[in-house]
Amino acid sequence: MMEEGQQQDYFNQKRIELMIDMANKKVLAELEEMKRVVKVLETEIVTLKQKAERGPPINKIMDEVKVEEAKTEQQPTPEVQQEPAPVEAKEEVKSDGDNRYGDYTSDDVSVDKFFYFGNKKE
Amino acid sequence: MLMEKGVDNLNLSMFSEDMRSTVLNTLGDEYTRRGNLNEAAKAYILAGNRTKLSIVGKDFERLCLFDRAVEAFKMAGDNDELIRVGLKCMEEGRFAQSVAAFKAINSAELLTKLGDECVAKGKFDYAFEIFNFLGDDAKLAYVGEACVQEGQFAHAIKAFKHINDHDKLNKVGEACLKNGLMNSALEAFTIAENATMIQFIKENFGQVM
Repeated sequence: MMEEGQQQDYFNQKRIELMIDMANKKVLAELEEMKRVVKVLETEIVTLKQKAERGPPINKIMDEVKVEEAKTEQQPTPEVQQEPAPVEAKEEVKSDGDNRYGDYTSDDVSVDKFFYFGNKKE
Repeated sequence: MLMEKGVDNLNLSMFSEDMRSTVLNTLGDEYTRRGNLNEAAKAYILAGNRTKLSIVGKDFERLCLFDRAVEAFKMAGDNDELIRVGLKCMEEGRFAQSVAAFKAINSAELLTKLGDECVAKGKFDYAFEIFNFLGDDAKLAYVGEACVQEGQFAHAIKAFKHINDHDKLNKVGEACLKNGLMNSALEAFTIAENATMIQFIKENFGQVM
């Protein structure tokens, strides 16, 4: 006949097997949930890619974003802008002068070169 | 609520050992009352309640689920119930369950009795399993002879192979040849290492096989 100890061992073995089985089921359920979430995220990525392909190129979007950023930076708050305003004005005048081509005066160019005062019939 | 969730999906780790045991025993009782014996057995196993497990075994037996009944009695360590259900199964010709019950209590006497019964009823598979489990070569030879008489050559080869009886294997091989069972004959002669007969079969019946 089988001894009490052996039977107790068998019972404990089965008990542990059941516990492991239960733990496995929980882990599997968690894995399934993770798989489901990954699938949803994949679908979202595909949708976003499709949207990006259909819409304007990314460079254009980036330029627009930069312009918008620049605008928001340029919009000054009244208190801050009061003092630096004249400096900016001066700089603008100076820069306008620099950007002029030639820097000619009226004496540099003869009027005769642009207007003919001779006889038209000749 | 707990019952609907099932024992498998419960997390009772936050409770003390005593509290957990109480909850599981209560669940087991309720599952038994509702006739969900599998869940009841699980609850009692987790609670470590072997007495209640034996009661579940009786319920399984009432439903003629003898496999489960034997398993429950085995886990419960209830030898009396194992003997009772084993004998009952033997009488009813449920040899698989009877073998499981007697193996569980490791009773050579009951297993031998069951093995003889299996041979008498022509259930050579179970007889082989029993005498192989007991390591009784004489009985295995007896099973082999009975198999030859009944024309169950595959079982006979299995039995004689186990006890490594080359003479008997050669006889089985000859019987197979007479009955036109070339594959079985070749198998018997191969195990018996009878090179002459192996060559004879391969040379003359190689195309037939």
